[in-house]
Amino acid sequence: MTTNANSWNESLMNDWMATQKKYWDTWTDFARKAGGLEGSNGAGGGNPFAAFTPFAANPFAQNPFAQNPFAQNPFAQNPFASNPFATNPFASFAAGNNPFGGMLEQWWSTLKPQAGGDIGTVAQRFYDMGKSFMSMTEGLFGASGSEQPDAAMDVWMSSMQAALQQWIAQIQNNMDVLTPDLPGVSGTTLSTWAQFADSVAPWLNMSQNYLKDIAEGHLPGGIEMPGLGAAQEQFCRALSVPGLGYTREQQERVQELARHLLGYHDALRAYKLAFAKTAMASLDAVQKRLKALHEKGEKIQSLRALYDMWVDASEDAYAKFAMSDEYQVVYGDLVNALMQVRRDMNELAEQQYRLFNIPTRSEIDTMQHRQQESRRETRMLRREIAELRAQLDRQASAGSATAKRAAENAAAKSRRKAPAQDSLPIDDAEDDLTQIKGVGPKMMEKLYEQGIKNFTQLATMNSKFAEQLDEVLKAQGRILRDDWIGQAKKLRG
Amino acid sequence: MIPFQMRPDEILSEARSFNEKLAKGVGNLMEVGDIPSGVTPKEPVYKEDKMVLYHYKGDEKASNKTPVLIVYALVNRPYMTDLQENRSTIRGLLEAGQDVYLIDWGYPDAADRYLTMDDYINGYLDRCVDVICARHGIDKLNLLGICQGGAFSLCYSAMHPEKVRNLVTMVTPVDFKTPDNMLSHWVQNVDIDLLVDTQGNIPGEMLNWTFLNLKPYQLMAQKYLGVVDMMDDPKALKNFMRMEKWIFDSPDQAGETFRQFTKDFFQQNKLMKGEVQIGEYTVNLRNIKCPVLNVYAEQDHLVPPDASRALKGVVGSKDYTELSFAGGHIGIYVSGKAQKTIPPAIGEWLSAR
Repeated sequence: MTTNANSWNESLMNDWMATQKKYWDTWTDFARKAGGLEGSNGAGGGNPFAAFTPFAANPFAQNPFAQNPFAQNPFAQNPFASNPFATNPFASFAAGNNPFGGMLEQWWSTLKPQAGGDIGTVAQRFYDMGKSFMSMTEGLFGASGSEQPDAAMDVWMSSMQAALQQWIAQIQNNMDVLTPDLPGVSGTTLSTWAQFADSVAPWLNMSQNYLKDIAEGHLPGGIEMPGLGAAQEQFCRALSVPGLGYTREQQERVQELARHLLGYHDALRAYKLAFAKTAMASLDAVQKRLKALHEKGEKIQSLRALYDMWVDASEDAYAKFAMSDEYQVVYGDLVNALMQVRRDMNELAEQQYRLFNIPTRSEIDTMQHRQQESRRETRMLRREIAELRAQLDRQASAGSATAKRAAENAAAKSRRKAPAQDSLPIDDAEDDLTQIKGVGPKMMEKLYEQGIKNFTQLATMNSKFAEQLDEVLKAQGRILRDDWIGQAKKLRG
Repeated sequence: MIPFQMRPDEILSEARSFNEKLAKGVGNLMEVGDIPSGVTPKEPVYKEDKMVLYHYKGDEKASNKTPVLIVYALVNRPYMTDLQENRSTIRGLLEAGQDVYLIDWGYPDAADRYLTMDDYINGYLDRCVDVICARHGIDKLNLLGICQGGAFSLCYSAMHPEKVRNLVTMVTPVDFKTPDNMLSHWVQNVDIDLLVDTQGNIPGEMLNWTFLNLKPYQLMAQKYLGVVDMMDDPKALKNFMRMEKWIFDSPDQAGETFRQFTKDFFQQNKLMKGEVQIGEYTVNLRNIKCPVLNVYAEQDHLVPPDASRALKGVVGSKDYTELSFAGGHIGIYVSGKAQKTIPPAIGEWLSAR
């Protein structure tokens, strides 16, 4: 990096502010248009929700930038004038106070519902990307303006490490709120999981706070317990007290749900922790690559190149993590724990529905299951009828010249279809053919339909006949492969 | 020691130009308008429940008398094969003289949770095959399966060899336990019975979340940065939005089908072992004796090449051909390079047989 202290002046600082402001203006403008507030694309008039938007009267009443967008900007006083890293710019990151990110997060979360539909979801993805890109730029910009850029870059890297360590510590203490938006942390992964989990089990967010209280030692009923581990243990013990009386079942279910909620938060914490550690590994990988470049004497000359390198290194580190045994465990545990919570909720809901004589999901499931079975049977019967009807038609029109081809086909088919009955002894004695390995009840039924009802008949079959029969029964070569003839000979005694 | 060579003013100017492009881009984003699902003219020829069988209309009559039926995966929508005029595998096949049919499985809802693989393969798919055969007065057709649809086509061809003349599999997993299969690695510790019993159908969002997390930094961040550079071109932006729409258009998957597919295929690798039981049949890939063309993508992050190539060792066909493409799972359908080579090669292979 070239030290260029001369180029570092107030006007540059102002330019940076302007660039940042323009960036957020872009999103403000977009959100306004997409929300139909400016009637762009005719969307405004047609938006049925326009009347319900919180910003209908004054769209930016709650916009943190409305008055003076950079009033809270930590750089407003030109923090780089003295020492850019006097205060670690990322120190407040993980606490959710990322100077821009935090404000922006709040601002965007109030605006984005207006940008609905396909466009809105795509915009969200651009927004997520932009946030991480701008965060990288911000860090770099600060470092580049320093008197000693190399040292400043090191400080920047270490500050990111510190932010991650802080995040890890928070997860361990069950206190994390926000995923830091460092370039090497894919917050999207965790936030989309949170969205999904929330859609599956809407109580989870609520329980997060509730359980946080417990974890911090505030037990229900004003009981204070010191320390995380002890509180959780006590709580679990309380949940294990057997339920009594009329509401015993209900109590047990609620206890079960609470236990599983705790289990879910444990699993989520384990997942996040593994994830945070991977972010740390990504950062290491980035540093290693930078070092390797340095040793080769190569230089990165654009933000984009740095970003791409960062993504590449992170993806590599993530891939190693994702293929590890640890990931297999934390991922599976997370999904399983979420499903247990959801199952408990289903059961509790059903209990309530039954009280009010409302049909339940499990009843509907039973009906659907039976219905699907009878649909299958109907299909099968229909097909059989169609085949029989076709056979009748062929017989009826066998003499007609127009049906010559059909008759030939029928003849060929019937040759295929019915293995000459007289090649087996005609015998109505009925054996349980399912004793033959490879013959199930359905197959036995099919064999009976062909007039093959006992071991003696099967035992006297030759292999050519067996092949023809196999084709008719669609037995996939099982007759010869599983040696039905040999088995029948033994069973015949 | 940091090999970074940019002055503050250079950083600023790059950040500023990024901003300008993004500003223009998000403006253009709102002008994109409707995005169609598929572009080649088609007509429905058979419907059952939510499934529709489509027949595509080419500019000229097909030179190959044997029609080809495309069987797509349940997890995404089949218009991936017909995204835009110059990025359409279906158009490519039509131009290569093929008569093209496609099954659109639709969007299953809670009432479809008991649809099994037997219902899909020996039910819906088999009846579609019968409909097409009846329309053309033939006994056998050509089958082209894609991804999960490729696995379905393999099962079908093994159970009903008398109805398949040629089989083409594209980016199709066969061996689900190759060491580089991330998806399979993840799913081994998931209690599938608990998942299906609790959820019924498996939500598309969940499947999508899983797929995107195979490469989260590229698929959820870097990709969008790359797009910023071309957002000022409305046409390119529209094409990007077609892909976006497709990627996030994920139907839920019928619970019972997901249960069997995940347990038998992903967790227990039964397709390789010849142990998959579908309805009354045991699926043995050795029963597939017809010519097989196996098309795979060399950089496929969802279905690793080895997972596809394993077919060679287990299929019963003597006429087995592999065709590889230097690209990814999706690129094989949408990249310009793929469009020039893959559909014509498939068409030629089919017409020769």
